[in-house]
Amino acid sequence: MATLRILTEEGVHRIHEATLELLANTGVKVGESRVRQILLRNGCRDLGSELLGIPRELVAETMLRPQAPLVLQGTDPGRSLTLDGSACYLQNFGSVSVVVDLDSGDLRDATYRDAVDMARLLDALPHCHHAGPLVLPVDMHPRKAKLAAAVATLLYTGKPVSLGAVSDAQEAELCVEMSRVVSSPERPIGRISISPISPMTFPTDICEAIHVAAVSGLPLLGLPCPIRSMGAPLFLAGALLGQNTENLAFGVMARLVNPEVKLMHTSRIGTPHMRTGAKAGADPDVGVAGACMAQMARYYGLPSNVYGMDTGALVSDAQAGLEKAANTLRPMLAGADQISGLGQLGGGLVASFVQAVVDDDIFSFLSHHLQALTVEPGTLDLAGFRRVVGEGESFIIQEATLEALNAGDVWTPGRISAPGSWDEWAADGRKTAHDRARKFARDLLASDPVRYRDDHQEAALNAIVEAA
Amino acid sequence: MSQALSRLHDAVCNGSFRGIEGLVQEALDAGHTALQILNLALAKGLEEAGARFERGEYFLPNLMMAAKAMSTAMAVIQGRLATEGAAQVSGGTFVIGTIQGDIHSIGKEIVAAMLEASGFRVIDLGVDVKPHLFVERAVEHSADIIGISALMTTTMTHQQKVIEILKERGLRDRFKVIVGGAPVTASWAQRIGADDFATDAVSGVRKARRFVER
Ligand code: B12
Repeated sequence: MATLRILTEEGVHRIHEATLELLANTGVKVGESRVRQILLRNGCRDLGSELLGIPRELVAETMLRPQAPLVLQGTDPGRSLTLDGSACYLQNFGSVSVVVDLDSGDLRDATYRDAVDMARLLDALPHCHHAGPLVLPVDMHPRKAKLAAAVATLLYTGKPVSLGAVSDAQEAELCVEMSRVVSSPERPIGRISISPISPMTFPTDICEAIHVAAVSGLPLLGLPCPIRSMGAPLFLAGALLGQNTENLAFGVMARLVNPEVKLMHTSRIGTPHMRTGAKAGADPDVGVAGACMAQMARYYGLPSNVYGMDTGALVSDAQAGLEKAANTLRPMLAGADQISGLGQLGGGLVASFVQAVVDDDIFSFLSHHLQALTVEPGTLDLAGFRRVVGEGESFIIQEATLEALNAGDVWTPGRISAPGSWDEWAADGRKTAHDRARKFARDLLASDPVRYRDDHQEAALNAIVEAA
Repeated sequence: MSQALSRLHDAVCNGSFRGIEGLVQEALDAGHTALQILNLALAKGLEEAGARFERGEYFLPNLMMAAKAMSTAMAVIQGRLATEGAAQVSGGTFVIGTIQGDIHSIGKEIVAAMLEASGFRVIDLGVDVKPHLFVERAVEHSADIIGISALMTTTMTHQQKVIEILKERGLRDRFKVIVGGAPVTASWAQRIGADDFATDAVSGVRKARRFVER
């Protein structure tokens, strides 16, 4: 349902052509691995210093063929997502080890308890359609922490889940094992993310992780994170080219391992502060890049998954609201299938329960912009005018009013919206949006947890963490 | 300043590193010694670039290109400097690396380039560096400062190991230790007994300079 295009058709085509040129002639660094051998067997040219040239024909064969709509399965079948371009879905940010304490508002290290609490909160937020480990606990061994965070997600949400980002074959295997515990053959649960290193570098461990993940048949998220002026050109067009090329290289590798593997086209472009070089926060280009990559995704017949709900703000303030809303709206209008970032602050270095609730509301508000406006006799409601103007009735008692409500024609104020009047607000203790979001999170966490796995599954999942 | 030197000065200051070797050769052909080239053209050019950066006229890439111009030119005169018997002018030696388990290299590389630009001799150990290697390389190169980058809270803990090893080997007082990376905080630096911390390159370099100037 894309209504916005940033790239012209010519622009899309130029990025695609430049991508083919880069892949074939500049090449991609691929470490010694099963994937490298497969690429060589399929006609890639050894350009020396680990570089492999991926010929146009191989890209065409593997990537320029339509992929059936990707279904991200939830444990609750009603919450599964079909990414067919008809809707835009939100997902949370991932792997953050510092959280804003819900009570004190101070920063502290994330614990396993936070991973559980966050999974429960994500499960309860209606516009967080896809949940993954937002929190990476530091109160356990790092090797276990990643898996434990994935387990917390699997235990406490019935939505489609991300099993997190893996960096080597062993991590990938453990994620696949976890997925098996909770999946049935017809409903595989879990998505695996893997990041190569920009520019164009796929080290041995990453290649082996791609191999394992592709064989598993689970949906894959290739997540190159080019930082402009460092991992890619500073020109946004050049950065898009880098992201696009790395996405396609990832796709070729995964599809050669398993032609049936389901992929997504991503945007994770970051811009450092050009005076200090400090970490990538959020700037307007996050939204522009996401919108452009959503367009590129459609060109390849792939669903898109882009940054958007991101901010460099350190607290849940106006800056956070502005940056997140503005950067989500553009990719949303450009037809992105999934937008990432719920719950993050500080350029992705901080996770916040309050912000997760706020982001859910922001997304609900923005989603209304996607609502198709139908202009037809029923919605023009000439009959209503006749009865009101001619016969003295009121619009509010017309059947069409109920129809419009039921059709979702009106946005319902969300959790963080202020009550209607100043007096009401003052009488209620002058609560801010932040207070309301915090109350929601607190009440939810004080309620009984909803569990989605039986004892047997839980024991099996915990055993996988222990074995790591 | 002769024309050859002033061209070289401007090339460094403007970050015109491509072909700068030719300008160095011209200066040598014009009869300047390597030491004159270093002191009158290269160092001054870089200093000016640094000043422009401090005044907010330069962006990071301007400065990094100036540093690249400096190091490219230095490579040409390095040998001559030694034969001329000139003592290597250096603002100090800085051993830097990204800690074990962590492959985030971008921030560390910026810091290394900026340090070089401000006159440090930089020994870059790369990424995924074992804690004991920081110590051993620092000893080997008679470093003044050890800089440890960590971009993940999960790898930050290894920064502490470097300091522990320094203590075990009775070397803690020999080196200043600066920890850096986006998740690093003042309280973390204090907890592990680092001398300072930085979450961006500019403040990192400023702090490093303070240590060698003392
Ligand atoms: C780019 C990136 C990557 C790239 C790295 C490419 C490369 N060549 O470095 C790739 C995609 C490979 C990657 C991989 C991973 N990443 Co990463 N990555 C990032 C990202 C988006 C930006 C980092 C960056 O380069 N910033 C730009 C530079 C300029 O800034 P900087 O690094 O902060 O450096 C500045 C300062 O910190 C300071 N500084 C840095 N070092 C030093 C040292 C000294 C001595 C001093 C004085 C100063 C100093 O000065 C620098 C310049 O101003 C961050 C998010 C973020 N907001 O930081 C995540 C992030 C760091 N990654 C993260 C994760 C989880 C991972 C992975 C584990 C994911 C995975 N499984 O695939 C792997 C890790 C693999 C490993 N073993 O290390 C997490 C870490 C979370 C945590 N636990 O704390 C982050 C925070 C994102 C997130 N929340 O999920 N990543």
